[in-house]
Amino acid sequence: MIKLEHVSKVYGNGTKGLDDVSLEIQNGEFVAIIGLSGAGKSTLIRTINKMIDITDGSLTVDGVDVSTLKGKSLRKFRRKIGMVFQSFNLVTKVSVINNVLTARAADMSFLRIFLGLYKKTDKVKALEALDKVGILDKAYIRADQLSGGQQQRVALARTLAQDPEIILADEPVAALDPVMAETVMDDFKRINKEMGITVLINIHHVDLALQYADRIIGIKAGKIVYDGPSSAITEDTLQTIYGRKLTDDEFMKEKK
Amino acid sequence: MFDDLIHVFVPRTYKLSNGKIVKEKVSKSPYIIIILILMVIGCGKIVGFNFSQLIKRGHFFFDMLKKMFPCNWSYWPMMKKAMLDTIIMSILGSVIGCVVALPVSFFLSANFKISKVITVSSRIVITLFRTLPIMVFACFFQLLFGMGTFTGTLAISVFTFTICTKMMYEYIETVDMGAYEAIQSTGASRIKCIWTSIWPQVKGYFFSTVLLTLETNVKSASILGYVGAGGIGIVLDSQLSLRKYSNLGLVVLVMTLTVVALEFLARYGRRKLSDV
Repeated sequence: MIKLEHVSKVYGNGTKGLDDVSLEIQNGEFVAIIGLSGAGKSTLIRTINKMIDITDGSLTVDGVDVSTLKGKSLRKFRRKIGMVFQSFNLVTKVSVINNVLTARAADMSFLRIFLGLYKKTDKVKALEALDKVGILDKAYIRADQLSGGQQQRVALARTLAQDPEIILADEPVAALDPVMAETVMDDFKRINKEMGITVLINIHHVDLALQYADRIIGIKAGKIVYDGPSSAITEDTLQTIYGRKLTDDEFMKEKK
Repeated sequence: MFDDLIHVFVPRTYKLSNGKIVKEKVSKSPYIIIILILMVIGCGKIVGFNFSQLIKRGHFFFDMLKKMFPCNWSYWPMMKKAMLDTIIMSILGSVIGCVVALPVSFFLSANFKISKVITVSSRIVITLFRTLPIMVFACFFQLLFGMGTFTGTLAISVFTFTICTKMMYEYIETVDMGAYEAIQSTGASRIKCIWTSIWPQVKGYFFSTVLLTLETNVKSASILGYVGAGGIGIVLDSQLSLRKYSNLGLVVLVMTLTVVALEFLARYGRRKLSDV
C-alpha cells in the first residue's frame, strides 16, 4: 500500500511540485493520474521511488517510510518498484534482451555485469518478460532498430523482469501513435489484472485514462482536485482539472 | 587598378543617377592583413629567421638526402630492436593510459553528481598536467626511473591519460541519461548503472580514442629516445651525431613506414568502430 500524508515538494527554485497531497493506493489498483503539463504528475510518481525527495509530509510504501531510505536500503526498496518512461529510456546500441537484463543488474555482482555474464535463470526470465509483451522474436535485435511502440514494450518487459510489486509509468504512451498507445495500455491492463501488480500511470489522454484505469487522480498546481473511480468522472470534474472544458477533438476517440 | 587599390583604404562617395548619395563603408580587413604581415616580419627578426639563410644553405638538405639514400640496408639488424621497442612502447602506453583514464573520466563527468568540489579540483589538476608536453614527462621519469623503455612507456601512458580523460569526460557528458535513470530506478548501484547504460553508449568513442592516441604516440615515441626514454630516438641521435647518413636513411625510412602503417591501421579501425 502506498500512503501519502500531507506530502509537499518545493524545488530549489521555489516551484511547488506537490502541495499538501494526501492519498492511499491499495495493492493491485490501476490508477491514472491526469492533469496539465507541469501540474505535478511526474513529481508525484517520482517521489514514490524517491527519484525525487519530498520536502514535507510523510510517504510510506508497505509501511516503509520512504524519506528515511538512502544508499543500500533505498536501492533494495527500488527493486520492487518498476518504472516506465515517456522516452522509453532504453540503452541504445544494445540488444533488446540485454536491455531487459539490465533490470537484473541490481541483484548481480559487479564482476558478472562487467563481463556481461548473465545467469541462465535471468536470461530465461528476460525472455519470458519479452514474451509477455509479445516481442519475443525481437530479442536479439538492437533496441534502437525497433519502432517506438516496440521500444516501449521492451521497456515494459525490462520492468517485468525486475519482478516489481508496483509499476510507475510516466507518460508511457505520449510518444506513440493511437493504435500503439492502446496496445501498450492493453499490456499494462493485462499485467495489472493477471499479475496483480499495482500500476500508477501518468497520462495525457483522458479517454485512455477513463477506459483503462479503475481510479483517476486529477492534479492541478500540485494539489489533488479529484480522486475517485473513473466511472464517476464528469465533464465538470475534467473542467476543474484542466481549467476549461475539453472539446470532442481533444479526445482520441469519440466520447461514449 | 591603382586608383581602386587606394580606395580600399579611402572611402569613396558615389552619386547615383537619381541624385542619391551613397557613402562607401571601408572594410577593416586590409588593415588587419597589413598588421599581421608586419607581425610575421617582426617575429622573424626576433628569432633570427631569415630567408637568405634558407636560400644560401638550403641545398645542403638535398646533399644530405643524397647521402642518406640509397640507405644502408645492412644496418637493419642493429636498429631492429629499437624500432620494435618504439612500437611496443606506444601501443602499451596508449592502452595503459586510456584504460586508467576510463574510470577516472566517469568520475569526472558532471552527469553523475558525485561531488562538485572533487570533480572540479581533479579536473584542474589534470588540466595542469595536460599543459606539459610528453618530453617533459619523459625527462622527469628518466630522473626517477633511469634510462630505458620503462620510462618511455610511463611517459606515454601519463601523457595519454591526460588527453584521454578530457576527451572521455566531455563525451560522457553528452550521452543520453534516460537509460541511466531507468536502471537507477531498478535499484542498481551507481557503478552498475554506469556500466550497463553509459558504457555501451561510449565504448565506440573510447576505442576510437585509444586508436587516435596511438596514432600520435607513435610519432612522439620515436623522439623520446633523445632524452633517454628508449626507442628509435636513441639510434636517430647517435647516427646523426656520427654523421652516418646512410644508416640514418634507413632509420628515417623505417620510421616513416611504421608511422604511416600504424596511422592507416588506426584510421581503418576507427572507421570500423564508427557504428559500435
